[in-house]
Amino acid sequence: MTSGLLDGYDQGGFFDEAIGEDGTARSGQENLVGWFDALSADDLRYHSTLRDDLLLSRGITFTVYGESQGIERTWPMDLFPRVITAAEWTVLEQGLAQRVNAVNRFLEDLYVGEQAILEDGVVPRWLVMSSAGFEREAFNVAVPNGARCLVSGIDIVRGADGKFLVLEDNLRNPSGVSYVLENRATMARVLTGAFEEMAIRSVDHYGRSLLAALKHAAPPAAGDDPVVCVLTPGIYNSAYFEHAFLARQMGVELVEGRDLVVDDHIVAMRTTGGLRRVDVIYRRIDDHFLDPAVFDTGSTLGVPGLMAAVRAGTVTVSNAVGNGVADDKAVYPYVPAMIDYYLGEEPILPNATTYVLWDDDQRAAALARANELVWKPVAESGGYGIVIGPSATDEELAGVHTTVEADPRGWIAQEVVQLSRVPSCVDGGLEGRHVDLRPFILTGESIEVLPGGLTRVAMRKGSLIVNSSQGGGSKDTWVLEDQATGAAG
Amino acid sequence: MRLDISNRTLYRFDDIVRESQNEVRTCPISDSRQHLIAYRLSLAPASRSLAFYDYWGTRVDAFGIREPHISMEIVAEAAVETSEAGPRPEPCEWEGLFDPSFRDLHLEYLERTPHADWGDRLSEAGLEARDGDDLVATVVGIHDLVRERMIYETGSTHIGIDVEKVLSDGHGVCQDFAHLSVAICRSLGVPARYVSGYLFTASDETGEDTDHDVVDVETHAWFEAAIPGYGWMAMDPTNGHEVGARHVKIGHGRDYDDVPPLRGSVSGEAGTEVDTSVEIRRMDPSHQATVVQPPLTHTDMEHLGFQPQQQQQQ
Amino acid sequence: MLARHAESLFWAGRYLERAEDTARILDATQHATIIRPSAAEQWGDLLIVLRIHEEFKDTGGEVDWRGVGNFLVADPENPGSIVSAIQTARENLRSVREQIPSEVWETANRFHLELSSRDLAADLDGEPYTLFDLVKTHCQTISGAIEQNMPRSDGYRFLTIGVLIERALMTSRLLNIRWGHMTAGTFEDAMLTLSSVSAAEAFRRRHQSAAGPVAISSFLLRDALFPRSTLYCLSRAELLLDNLVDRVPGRGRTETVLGRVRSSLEFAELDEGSVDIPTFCAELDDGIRQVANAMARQYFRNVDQLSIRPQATVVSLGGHR
Repeated sequence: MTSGLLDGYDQGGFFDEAIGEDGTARSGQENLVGWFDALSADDLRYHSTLRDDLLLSRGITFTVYGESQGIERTWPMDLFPRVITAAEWTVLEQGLAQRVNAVNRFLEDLYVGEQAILEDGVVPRWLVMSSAGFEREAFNVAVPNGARCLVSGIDIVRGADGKFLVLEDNLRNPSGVSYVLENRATMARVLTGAFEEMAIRSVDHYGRSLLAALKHAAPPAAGDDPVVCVLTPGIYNSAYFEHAFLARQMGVELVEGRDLVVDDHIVAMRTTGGLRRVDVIYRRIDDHFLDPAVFDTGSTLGVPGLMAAVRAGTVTVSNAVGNGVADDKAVYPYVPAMIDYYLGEEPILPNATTYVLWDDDQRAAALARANELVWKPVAESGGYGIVIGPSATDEELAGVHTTVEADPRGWIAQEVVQLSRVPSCVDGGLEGRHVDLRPFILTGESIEVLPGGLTRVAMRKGSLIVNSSQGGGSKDTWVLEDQATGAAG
Repeated sequence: MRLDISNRTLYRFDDIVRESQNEVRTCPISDSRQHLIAYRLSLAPASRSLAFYDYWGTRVDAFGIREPHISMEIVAEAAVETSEAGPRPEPCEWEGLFDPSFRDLHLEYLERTPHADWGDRLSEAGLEARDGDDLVATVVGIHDLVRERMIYETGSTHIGIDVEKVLSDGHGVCQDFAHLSVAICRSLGVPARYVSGYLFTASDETGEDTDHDVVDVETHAWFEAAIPGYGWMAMDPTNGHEVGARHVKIGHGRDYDDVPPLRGSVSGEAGTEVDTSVEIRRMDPSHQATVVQPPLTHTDMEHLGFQPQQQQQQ
Repeated sequence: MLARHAESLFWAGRYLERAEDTARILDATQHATIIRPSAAEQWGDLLIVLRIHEEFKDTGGEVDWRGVGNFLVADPENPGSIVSAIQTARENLRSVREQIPSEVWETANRFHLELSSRDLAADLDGEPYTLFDLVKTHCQTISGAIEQNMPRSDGYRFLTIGVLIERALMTSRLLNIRWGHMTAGTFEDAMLTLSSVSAAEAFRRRHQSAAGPVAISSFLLRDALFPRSTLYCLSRAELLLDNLVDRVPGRGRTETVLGRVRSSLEFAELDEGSVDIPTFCAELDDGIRQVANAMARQYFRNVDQLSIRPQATVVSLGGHR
């Protein structure tokens, strides 16, 4: 069937999300693959131009730090979508909900519970106590309904065998959901033809779901219609676009620290009509910048007195303070054990094979094959500090040896996952590029997984680095309706 | 011993301050050696404080002032019943430190912290102080070594100084003595913590008792080391006295930063002058207990343990 | 609404209008110097009326079309230049993107991109009126996006009040700049003043014969129907202010000052020709700027904006008294 643009498409020995081993479209994606295959190189360029104009004029940007000229860049979105079938999604959805549920229970246990999981030795106490994310200032601070990870972003990859694995958890301020929605809106306008061929589950309700979850987390005293706001570090933050986007989607105020004051342990915003009380703050500021009265950072991004107000229970801050301990990469290997401990269930989504380097045997074994593994600092996110063994220089590998030996607790090593690939637009044609997936999970009245997620793609040939801060791109993620797979099969 | 403490801190600003948000840690803890009878915090300008117990078990009062002010006064009054320390622990074998569950429970008190970060000089001092296989004697040795090497000198240091430098300078005040002892303990793998509190004494330096019933002092600091099978052993290296009935503990932590008497933020650029005074009154058991009433408009009264009526009946 | 948002919208409105009016004033002035080269000295007057002659002096530029034109159009160091104004308006809109319809942001963003991609020096050397036309067209596209799409909430009111305050100011400034030439000059000079604010046709319909400077100044300052007249702008700003939803009830300082400026304009005896227009315009200028200051105090900074630093620690710990 591939007589056009996909003619001679090479899977390269990887798991391809769109094209099966036999070279034909995977079940459910026939129409999509056919539609692309029928395009000419000129058609592809035309659609690409249309997309670029749309993204640029709509100001859909992201920020890269450390660039001297212009901090905003237009968001890179590849035209070929990543498709997840209804059957695949069911597994992902259940696995993600299970994981978030367990992690919420873990955080409750640590901060306001008996620390039973430590008492029982399931997670080593020292590991928690030595975690930079274990926030003692949050100790004994209650969170309504225990919804500590109100928004989670969990990074999923698919290996050569086609199995989904959890690569890491993002439980502090996961970003990217705005691009999920913007990618969808852009695709619907640029690729109308392909779009109409498929029955795709909507992601447009995310703002409503987020608002409902935030209102559900309001302090009891807030009444029936709690006042919610989004707290941003400001327009120079790399995710500002998203903060503004979410505030608009929810129809709530986007505030900066200087817009808020704490009076008598009650948080209020400065308005043209004076002070107005706030009940729930969806904050996109890191823990240590939230309150200069408590965290001695000298920063003015936050709100003096905010932590005392949270403790007094007059306001809810989401995500909760102190979640970093649960997405510490050295704690991540214990998440399957948490699922077993708190829920008595088998983990639906396994972790990627990970070595804990504070263990002398594992460290020695891992360092002996340093050039085959991926090395990650435990407290970073966004791909910063990662060393990929197979593509690292000798110098970088020597650096890994030194830093890991000096601080074994501070690093983990993971087996390289041969990330699955999706056809992607390269030089007027389609070539396979590696992808991961970040779905977004809300803890509201129940746990809700947004059908879709941010598919990040390494646009450089052969590269496994998908982070947008590191030159990666994105794809719209199409979760198919149930009948779509039925009809296609 | 019944001690009534009045801790008054006055902040004077050289310009109008429009907002400040603060946390106060001045309330004595109740533990096996002392019992808190009453505690009251008075604030001017008036403000309502939120009381809670932090991770380390210290009572914290958090409050904000959001009106223009040029001074801020915090008066913390406490009434405490203290007793002498129990017997010193029996000699304890070093081996006990390596018990995994003991280490696990005391991990936080073994790590380096900003005010207790040791280098070669402290490690050497630790080895010098080590008394063979006996942990208890070693902790006493550390206490003695700090007393030997250090001269008490008021106002000679400020918070934030490196303990290595404190040791080489050879002088400091009580929190330097405490931080230094903590750091030396940890350099040997002995869990140790910093203690913030008060001492009823005629002289902070000598720690000697007095015939007077009232003394004017400031807050005091000492340290505690964890002994397997015993618990925390308290030592006061500033003056060498047993930590006993004249010591009133506020709380403990990894170092000063976990138990600062006051921390917070203030708006604007106004210069600040801080004046602290602590008055401790030793109550004659035959006398009625009274807490001196300050001339303030707003009070935040809280009774812990005994009710005043019950005291009168005793 | 958030005080900071209100302030950003207000300034976005002012800067958008500033860009358009600067283009209009430059267009008129430049045109006048072409038809009568002796009018070249008005470049200096223009800087004085816009109250930026000191800033201009610091640049060391020549007081001629090239120097002043570049300063007012392309100089990124001059916060009042068209480039800076659009940049600032965009930044303000960007900081309130969630408060405004996407079309408003998009049109403003597109204008910013267009301006930054152009060789403005070449434009000024070549056919400056195409550049001025471009500025006017883009500004009107943005105004159109605002008028068509923006809900009539307080955000719209603050933005529009910003536009109206700036327009009131710039119309009176234009008159001030042009006054000397109108009284000394020809019929063309007079009509040029009107056409630079698109007022020629409206004026003619109103005054078929008499086209003297007095009638023109009266028209520009307080015609009840012409939307760029200073009185029209102030009256409309007053109305919008009264309709604000999120405000402390009662009449505040802004309303008082604005009412006073508006009535002093409304009841001034302009038609007799006895009023010295430059003095009158300068007083009006002061009054309008007082309105803007009062607004900032009443609506944008009604709660102190504070800088924060750590509380001093108790450093005397451990001593004995």
